[in-house]
Amino acid sequence: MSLLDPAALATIHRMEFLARGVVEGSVSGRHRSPFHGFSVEFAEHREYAPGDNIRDLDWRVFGKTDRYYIKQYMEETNLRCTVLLDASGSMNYTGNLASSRNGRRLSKLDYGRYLAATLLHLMIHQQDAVGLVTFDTRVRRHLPARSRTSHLRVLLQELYDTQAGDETALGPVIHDIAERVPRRGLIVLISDLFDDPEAILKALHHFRFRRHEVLLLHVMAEEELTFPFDGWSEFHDLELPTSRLEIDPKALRATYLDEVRGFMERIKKGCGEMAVDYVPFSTRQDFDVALANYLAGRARTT
Amino acid sequence: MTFLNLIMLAGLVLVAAPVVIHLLNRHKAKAVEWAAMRFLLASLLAQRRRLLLEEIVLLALRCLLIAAVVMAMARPFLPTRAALPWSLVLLFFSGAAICAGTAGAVWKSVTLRRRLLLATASLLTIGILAAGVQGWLLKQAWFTPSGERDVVIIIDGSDSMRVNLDGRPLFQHAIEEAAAIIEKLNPGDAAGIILAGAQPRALVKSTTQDHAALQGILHHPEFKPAGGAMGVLESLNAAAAMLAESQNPIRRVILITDGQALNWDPQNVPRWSYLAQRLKALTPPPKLVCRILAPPPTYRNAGISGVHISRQVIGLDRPVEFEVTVRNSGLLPVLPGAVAFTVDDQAAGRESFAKELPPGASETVRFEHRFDKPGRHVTGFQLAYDDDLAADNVDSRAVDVLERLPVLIVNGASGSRPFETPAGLIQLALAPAASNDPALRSLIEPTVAEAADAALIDDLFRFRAIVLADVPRLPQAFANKLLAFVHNGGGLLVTAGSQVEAGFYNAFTSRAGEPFIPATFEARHTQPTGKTPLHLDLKSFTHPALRLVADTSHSDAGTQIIHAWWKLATDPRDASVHVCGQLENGDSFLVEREFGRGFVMLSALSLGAADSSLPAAKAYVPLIHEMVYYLAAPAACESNVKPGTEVAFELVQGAPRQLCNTSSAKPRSLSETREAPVVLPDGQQGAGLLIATGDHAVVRFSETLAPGLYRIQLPGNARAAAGGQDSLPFTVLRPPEESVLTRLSDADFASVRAQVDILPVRGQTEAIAAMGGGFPGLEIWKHLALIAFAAALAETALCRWIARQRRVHSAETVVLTTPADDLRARVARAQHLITATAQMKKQAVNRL
Repeated sequence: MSLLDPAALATIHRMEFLARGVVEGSVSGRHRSPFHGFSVEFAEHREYAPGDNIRDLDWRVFGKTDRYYIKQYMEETNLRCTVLLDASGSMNYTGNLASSRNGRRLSKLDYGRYLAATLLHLMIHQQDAVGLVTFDTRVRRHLPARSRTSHLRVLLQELYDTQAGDETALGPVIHDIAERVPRRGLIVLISDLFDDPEAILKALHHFRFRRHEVLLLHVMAEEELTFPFDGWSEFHDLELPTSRLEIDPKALRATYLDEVRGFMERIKKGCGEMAVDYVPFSTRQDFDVALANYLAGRARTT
Repeated sequence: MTFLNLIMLAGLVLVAAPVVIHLLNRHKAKAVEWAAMRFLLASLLAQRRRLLLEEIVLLALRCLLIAAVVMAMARPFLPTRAALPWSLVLLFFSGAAICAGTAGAVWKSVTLRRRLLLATASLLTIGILAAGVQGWLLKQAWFTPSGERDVVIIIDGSDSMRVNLDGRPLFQHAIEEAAAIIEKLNPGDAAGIILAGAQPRALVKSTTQDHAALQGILHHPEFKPAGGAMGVLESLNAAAAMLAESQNPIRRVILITDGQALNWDPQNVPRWSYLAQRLKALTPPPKLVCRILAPPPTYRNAGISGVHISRQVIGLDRPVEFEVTVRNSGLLPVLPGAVAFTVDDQAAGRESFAKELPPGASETVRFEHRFDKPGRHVTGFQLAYDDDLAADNVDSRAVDVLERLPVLIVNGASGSRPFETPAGLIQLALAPAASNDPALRSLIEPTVAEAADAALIDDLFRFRAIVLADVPRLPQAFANKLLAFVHNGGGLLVTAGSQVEAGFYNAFTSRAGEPFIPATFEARHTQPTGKTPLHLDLKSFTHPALRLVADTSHSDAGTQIIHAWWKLATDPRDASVHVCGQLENGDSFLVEREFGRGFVMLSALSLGAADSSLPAAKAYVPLIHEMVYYLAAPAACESNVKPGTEVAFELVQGAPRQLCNTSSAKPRSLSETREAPVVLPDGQQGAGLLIATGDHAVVRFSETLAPGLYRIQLPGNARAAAGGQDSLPFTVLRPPEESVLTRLSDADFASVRAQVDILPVRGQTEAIAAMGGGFPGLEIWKHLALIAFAAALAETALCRWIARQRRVHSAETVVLTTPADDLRARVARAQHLITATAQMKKQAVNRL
């Protein structure tokens, strides 16, 4: 385990604390994680304790023994979650409308980091296995899923160290990752998805094919959603510094927004077809509130 | 198109303003780091063309707008005569503005912007040059007002100005234009009017500032064309004379005419250069302007183009034939009515036309009339036809009918029997029947006198012709009288036989030393009877007096044998000498010389029996008659004169005689002069001068501009001298070319312009501009201002439309259904549920 920078540690602790807050704010009942295993493989019986899910009562056993036992599934305690964090150049975009944390505006990558840290914390303390993959045009680091609490530190450190890279090429990378993750589990993809939507959907379908549950957290900056620019501007591509565009933003605003809207609709529709959970985020929103809302919603529906 | 305020075009630099502003905006472009390039690029790609087009159109429109405003401020002007069409010049400027705007829009592309800027610069340069050159040409051609003016207006008063255009004569149009010019003059300007007929007539003595008086002259009902043809050079010279006394610094002469080519005489370099020099001598030299009125669309005219009287000497013995030529000088075929012939206002004949006359064709009708009274008669010819020019349908001729024609024959061969001398034979030929019966009396009254007696004759002028029949020599006094006689129009025939003294005749000259006798005597030849007989060569008879006997089919003059003749030597360099006929051997037979107003004829034969067998021929009598008629003709009065000639008639015993030297008609003392009223062709009255001394009266009249019939009214005491007639008619001839409306060709006008600086103007506005200063044309700054306004409106509308197309104000941002919203929605729903349940409970309780 690498030595952590006190400031980083503090940050990470803060992340943890936040994560906990998030989790505790949204969970009610003994099973803290809203995530369940969904395997139907019967593992063992456990005596019923108040608070357990009534659905899991094994009535046959009750019939036989007149005592309440719940069924436990193999995956219930063995949820493997892998967080995929997009660290391409486009994630470095901050903008002026993003929410701040500690006096600093959050770039999409920062936002994604916080989202990832929160989820990782949540999972680990639920005794689920968590892993992390960072990528841009290719996989940077792959930390396989472990359920030990100490693994969290490693993951958080890795999150902290991740810097934005070059270009985005989601399709091939995700295909690659899909091959790497051994068993079925939960895949959380945090990205701005700035790539061909069809390629992305195809790649996500690869995960679904391998029977992973996929959660897509689509992080966008507020400017990318509203395009509030005024007056002649020269747009520099973050990923390709030589690519510049000198335009009058007002002239293109309407068409740009149409494009973005169309893109997001496509992703949303595609995800809906594949039963992939699609959650759009704007960096303007406080990430904790946004994530808490999502988790609450998810807890209710399962 | 040009600009009156060319300097203001410097403001065209402002056209660059929209471009500069546009570029500055782009220069201030903020740098923005951006991640979502793919969407930006996608949206740009879809709109790239459209965006560029919108930019180009907007910038071009703004540049055009500014260019239009600047051009309007430079006072654009459309001259009536532009070297380049105005649309072209306007195109240059607008093209430059559009190129500038487009260059601003495509600034990124270096090659394109360079080309466009180059196009802008070149179009602008060409445009400014074109406008500048046109402006300079305008200043050269037209005259800027600076100072007071002296304007002389010459109005064409020829007959062709009577033709109608738009319901009124061209002359009326000319009056209206002249009046418009005078009206546009400033109070300090002076003007004069000249009516141009054959001679110009100034209607005011010099240029005057009394414009009202000039308008009065122009609109006076009696102000009519003078008639006849216009003397262009004469009237221009008259205008120059009128301007010589003017004082104002700016001088103009405008000639308002229908442009008829007659009398312009463009090839007559001496006259035009004289006029040019005269104009240059005036300081500052006046500028000449020529306003040619538009011709009428159709022209139908038939008129009398000439009257030919068969004989110049008319007596009571034979009828005279009048040949009247009627010509179609219009552009359409005509069928004229009849020609009516009157003698002294009495109908005397009528001839009509059977066929239509095509344009340019002529036809002749003949009238025969035998006069029964001597004196001056007026023959009138009236063509009945309603055409565009009525002035040439009437013509008249004044003819003098003689009771007798006295001829003096001086007999040189004295002593012989009368019918053997040439004089006797000639006398016999001239007056064959000596009878007192008036019907048989011939016109010619020959008197024979011996050479010695002839010297005693006092007044030779009562004879019309004198024949010296083989006279050896003459006394000096008689010779001098002969000189005066011929000089004044009398005719002299000298026949040379064996008696003549060659030395005398060869030395016979006038006082000034001019030769008198047509040829010099060399030697006398004879043809011996043995040799081949010598005859007259009728083929050489080209003279009008010999025409009758030259006809070989009728005349036997060519078969007469000549025995003796004089060999004559003529001076080929002398232009007044003509050989009328020759002998077969080439020697001259008859030689003629013009001397003063009369003729001297010299015959190489004596015309007696000794020299030839001619007296026995049948042709002898006509030959003698014709020669005498020919010689007597000039003394006959010219009662039909050219326009502008001053006529002076000496009234002697019933036969008015025109004096060739009018200065001799000066009065000797005031008491002898009286005014003789003259009736002019249009019925007005003029004033002639009558100088009466006993039975000898001379009457003078000089206002013979208008063609037509004039009558000098003779007061009582002069009537006796006129043989009892109370009025003396004469006619002024009308030039027949005046009826043909051939216009001055461009080439002819160009050769006139080469000699004299004369500016042709088209239209009344140009004429007034040429006189009144300024440039003819149209100022169009208002139009350009309107265009600028329209462009401004268009630009605003276009901006709005573009903004609407881009949905600048209506674009919806991408709104995420944020969990926060969902939360709020859920909370709101929960609250709603709570309140609803509470209400239901309350209602249930209430029902219970």
